[in-house]
Amino acid sequence: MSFVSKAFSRAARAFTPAVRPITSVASPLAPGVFSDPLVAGFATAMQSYTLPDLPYDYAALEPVISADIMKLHHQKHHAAYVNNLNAALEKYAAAEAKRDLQGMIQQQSAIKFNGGGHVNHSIFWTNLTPKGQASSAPSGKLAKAIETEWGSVDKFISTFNTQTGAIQGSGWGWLGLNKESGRLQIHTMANQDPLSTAGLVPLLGIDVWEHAYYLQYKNARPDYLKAIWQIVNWKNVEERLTQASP
Amino acid sequence: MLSRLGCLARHGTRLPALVLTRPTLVTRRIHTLPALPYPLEAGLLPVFTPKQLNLHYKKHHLAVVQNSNRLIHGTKYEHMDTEIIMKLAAGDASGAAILNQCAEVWNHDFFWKCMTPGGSPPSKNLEHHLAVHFQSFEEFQRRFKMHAMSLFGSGWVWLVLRDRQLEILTTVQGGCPLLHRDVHPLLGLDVWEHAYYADYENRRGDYVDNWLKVVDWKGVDERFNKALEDDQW
Repeated sequence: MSFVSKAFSRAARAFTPAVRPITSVASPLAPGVFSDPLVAGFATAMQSYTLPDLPYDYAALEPVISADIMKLHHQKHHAAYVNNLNAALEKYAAAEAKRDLQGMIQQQSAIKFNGGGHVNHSIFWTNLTPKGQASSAPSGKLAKAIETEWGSVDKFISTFNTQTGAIQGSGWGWLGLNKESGRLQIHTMANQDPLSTAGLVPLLGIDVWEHAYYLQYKNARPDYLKAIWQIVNWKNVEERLTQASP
Repeated sequence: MLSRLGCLARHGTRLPALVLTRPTLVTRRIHTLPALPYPLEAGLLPVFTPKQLNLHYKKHHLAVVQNSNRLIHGTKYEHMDTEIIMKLAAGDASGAAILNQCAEVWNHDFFWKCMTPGGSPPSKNLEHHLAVHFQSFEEFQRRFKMHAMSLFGSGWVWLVLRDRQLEILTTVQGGCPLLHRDVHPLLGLDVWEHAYYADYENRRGDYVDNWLKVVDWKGVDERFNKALEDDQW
């Protein structure tokens, strides 16, 4: 194949509708510098992921979560997931363009780790709200569903904390919706594995990677889990349930 | 029966040679926080400030010691050696928590011994063997760091001897190299976030760079030679 026709077929593939959903425009955080100049021009069709802003100031979740933790968690950890995700997707795209299946497979764990990290943290920031603005308890459909499943909100929290506290190492505790049964479930996930891989819709997630609480709570994960319920944004959880329910 | 023997052994009663097999089988084992081979108050510079060392030792390590003792109390595991507890619990569906805590007890016990103030250099013999398996001592360090950086989540990175080959092995969460067949751990690095977060936040690379400066290669050497000896039988 000549150089020109190779470029043409590469271009044709780049403009084929992407299978994965494009969620946001390329950001200055991830300028998407591509080493191959022919791909570079078409790369803007493949839009990169961006670090979402927090819906509140870094200090807004004090005293439950310190400003130091929020800043690090957002600007370092979440940002790293976004950057690494974009880098992995770029490599994946390059491999895909060459029909290099092995190259594509090689990027899959990085996409899962970092993509999962981006998905999870994006949900997490919205699941929390400053103490003053938090409603003290769930209401409406969510409250009913929790009571159906666990008898009371307190029992739900206690079960959730027990299971989440028992996670070995890094992971998340989730309240999820099983769409098939229409029932709520508590489910823990290791590392950054998204809840969707367990077949549930994420409603509320609590990060128990050590970086989420270490600077403030040290190794006392149970204390962190006890305190965090003061800043859970029940409204947001309810909205997610409504969106997910048929 | 074994605990009775252990009791007798501790009181100095002479037992027939037949009965004394592996010393660990007759030793009652309750986990304790071991003494650090260097003073806690000084930290272990440049890798750990006193604050970070204190947190890791006095909070995390102590917590896994206490948790493991609490979990094995009143169970069949209570009088067993840590290594045996792990191997049995690994095959027991209800033994997951015991396995994880005991593994972390063993891991941390081992970890402190891998380091010494200022580090100590590897012997020529060990350097030669590292060069055989990793091209050079520097290349080994580079690859060890690469494993540490690419370990996602919580875990440990190890230099082990397996089938007379030096290998880098990673274990995740509460895993332990002793659970792998025919593996002799020689050197271990904790990359759980708690191990470095107070000093380095998320900069795991800086942590590993500094850790490489305090590795007690003399101890690695001793373990390496002993492992080769053990493997002969």
